[in-house]
Amino acid sequence: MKCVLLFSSVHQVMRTEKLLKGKGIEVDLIPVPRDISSDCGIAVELSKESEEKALVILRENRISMTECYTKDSRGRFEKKKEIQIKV
Amino acid sequence: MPVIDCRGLACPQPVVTTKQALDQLKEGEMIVVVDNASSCNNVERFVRSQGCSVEIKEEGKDFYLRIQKGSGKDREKATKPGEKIKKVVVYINSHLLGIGDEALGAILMRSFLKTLMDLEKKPSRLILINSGVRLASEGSEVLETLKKLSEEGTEILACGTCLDFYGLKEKLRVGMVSNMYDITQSLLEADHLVRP
Repeated sequence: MKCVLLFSSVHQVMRTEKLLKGKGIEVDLIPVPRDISSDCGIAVELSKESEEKALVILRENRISMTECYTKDSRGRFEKKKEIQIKV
Repeated sequence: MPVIDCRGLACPQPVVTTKQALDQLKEGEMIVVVDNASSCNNVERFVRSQGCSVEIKEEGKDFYLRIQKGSGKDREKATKPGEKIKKVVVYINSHLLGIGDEALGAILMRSFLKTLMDLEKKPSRLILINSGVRLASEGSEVLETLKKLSEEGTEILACGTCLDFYGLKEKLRVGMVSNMYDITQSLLEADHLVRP
């Protein structure tokens, strides 16, 4: 199970990648699937285990994230409504 | 309607005879008679490749192929036998996609390759040249993506001169070291060339 974070711009994606990698969290950048609309076509993917830690880091660094999805082993996305960071 | 009797003819004569008859036929139909299944298949494949439609009737040990000559447009659309799969070659001459900010270019290239991996139609070859070879070398963010592409049948060719220049000869992790002959030939023989 993976966690996929969507942002409103690629700048936030780039900052997030740098920050999380700096804190030892493995992240990957993936193209946003066609059926999910997003302002930015690139999303940050990380393991479910690192999700909580990553969200704390994002809050601390005032990076706003628009949506959070879970991605199962078959590549299906499910939206997690309760999580959104607005700065 | 012309009837071309190809019974008793050895392969590839039925196809050759059919081709000659088809060339002479301006419009409409003709019938080709063959006496074995493999000739029937060969003639069928040939006429379909020429954009014709064909109906086959079996009578005893003979096959009657009723061939309707297609229009010019159909013929252009038709593929030659054995060429059903188009050779799509992706030519990557930089580790960055597009001209502009480098960090953005790197992200776009990763995204491009991952999307390529997700789409059903895979390229037959992927050519990496100049700093494009970094993508297939140790430390690359897209190694896993390229490995998957390679497993799914895409041949990955990395320019040897370029690997040498960047000091990556020992660090190539996916694909094969190639040269300008192979690369140029691939480019010339491609049905479609994709340059992201």
